[in-house]
Amino acid sequence: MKFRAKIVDAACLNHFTRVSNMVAKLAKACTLRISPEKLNFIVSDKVANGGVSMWCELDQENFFSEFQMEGVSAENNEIYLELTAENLSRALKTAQNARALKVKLTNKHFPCLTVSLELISASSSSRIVTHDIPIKIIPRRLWKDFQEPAIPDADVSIYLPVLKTMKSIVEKMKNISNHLIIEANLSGELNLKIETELVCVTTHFKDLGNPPAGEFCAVCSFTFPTCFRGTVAEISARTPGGLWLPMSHARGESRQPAEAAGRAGLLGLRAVPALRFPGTLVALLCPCLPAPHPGWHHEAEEVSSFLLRSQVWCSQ
Amino acid sequence: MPLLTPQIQDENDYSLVASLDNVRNLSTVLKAIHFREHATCFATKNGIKVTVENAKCVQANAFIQAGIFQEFIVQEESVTFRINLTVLLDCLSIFGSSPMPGTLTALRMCYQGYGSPLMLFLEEGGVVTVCKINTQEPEETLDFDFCSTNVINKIILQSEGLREAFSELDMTSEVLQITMSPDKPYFRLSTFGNAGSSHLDYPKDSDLIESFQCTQTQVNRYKISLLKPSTKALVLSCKVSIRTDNRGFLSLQYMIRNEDGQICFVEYYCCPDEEVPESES
Repeated sequence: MKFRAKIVDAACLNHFTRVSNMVAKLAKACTLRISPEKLNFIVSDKVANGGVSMWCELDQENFFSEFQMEGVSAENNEIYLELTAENLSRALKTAQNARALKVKLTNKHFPCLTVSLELISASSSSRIVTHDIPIKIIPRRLWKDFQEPAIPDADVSIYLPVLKTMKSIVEKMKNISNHLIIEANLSGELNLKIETELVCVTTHFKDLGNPPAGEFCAVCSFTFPTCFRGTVAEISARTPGGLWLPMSHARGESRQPAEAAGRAGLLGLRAVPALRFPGTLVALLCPCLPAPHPGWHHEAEEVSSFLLRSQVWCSQ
Repeated sequence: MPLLTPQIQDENDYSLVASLDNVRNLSTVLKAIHFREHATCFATKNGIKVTVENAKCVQANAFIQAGIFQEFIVQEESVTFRINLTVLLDCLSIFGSSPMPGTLTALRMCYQGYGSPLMLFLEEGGVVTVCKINTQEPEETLDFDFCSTNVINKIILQSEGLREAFSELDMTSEVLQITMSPDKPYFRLSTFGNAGSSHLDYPKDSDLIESFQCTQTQVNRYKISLLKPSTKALVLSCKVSIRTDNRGFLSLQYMIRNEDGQICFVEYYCCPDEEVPESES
């Protein structure tokens, strides 16, 4: 097993830092999947327990100037490892002004992901900061738990409004209510709504347009925790029974697409970042309920950080 | 917009209708008195007065004159209701408190009368938000009986002169002592905290002081925890008038200029904490 990669481009480095920050906000532990073409950050809390799942995909060639890897074996040319996302994000804190980033798999008494940053210095001598992040190699037999999820169809798809506006609205609604009701239809209308004893607030968006993927269904409505802080590039959801959300289409679209579906079930959030990094994708899945449910608050924190990050990320 | 049509037809049913092109002209002033959750609103044909009180010792009033609004109709002599100010402010700033340049949030506010919710219709860039805020039974507000004929000392100064002093008040001190006098030290703010006492003197002829009308030496103490919230208004204001009456009651009047250059006033009343013993003054 071998892995060694290098980023020299400042924009790529910045982007990679943002991705890792987002993952760190979402989950304590995450899985990193390394394959010759792609790098995946995977969070797979059990959705049944109200947890949030995430699938983040980065095309290796868009980020790394050098990328060498050798998987477990020739036919299984992949590496799955578990790490504390916070550690990676902390290691990359110094990356802001770094000239280059090197990541490699090392064994220093225990397996580590070694992150070295070459910093800019006023003098000619270069400074290098190295972090060793302890990791756990995930054995081959557990890989099946971390596969790219299957894609169910969405009932309703809708493009989201300007993220900044939506973010501000959701933030204010979050102050007032624990749950947000999202309504969307195939006529390009989206409502964000909260209802409490004190106040009812509804924001109506219209003329948003629907991605061609949506086919049928009148109006769908579901409840979503308002603890989410930021906003999304894309939302999608499906009726109960399924596990994951669609994430194959709309890659590299210049407009931020959104999909929402299901009278109840799962809400998917998908961030499609700037065109600069085609093939990069973050998808997050969280359960949503037909009625407010107190058990929601836990995972909502994770959703919130995701949204917060993806907003920053998408608005690049 | 189907939501707005019926509401325009029923205009006569509302005891209060107010429209504003820039919601920030209202929200900014309300933020200046937002130190408690609830506020009482009084609307007359002259405008709206919003009152917030704490501990029966301090009262803040924000005055938004009818002229600030593009449309302002009050059907009754006066309209009074109590409202959750936190929620109201969240609703007013739902499109964000620092909007993108060139975009304004328009507001239309309607109230049908006793027992009805306050309806807000906010619009920005074609997106409409409708808020229905339940109103509450109005509470009796304090009458400080602060009469200008009883005013002993009055100083008007540029807010910047007080801003730093207030933001850096020694919060370990329980009281803020205000000395106003026709003689030295003229105008002094004192705190008595864990780390010692501090005195801040303003000379009478300072450029910051616009008007100095002190007739008698007065030394009064006010609970610092009650005065601190007035910093919110101070930060927004351009001028402040500090007055004390014969009972030692304090009135702070803040002049706030909104984005359209119109003037609004926010007023704080506070009662003195205790009599200062002769020996100390």
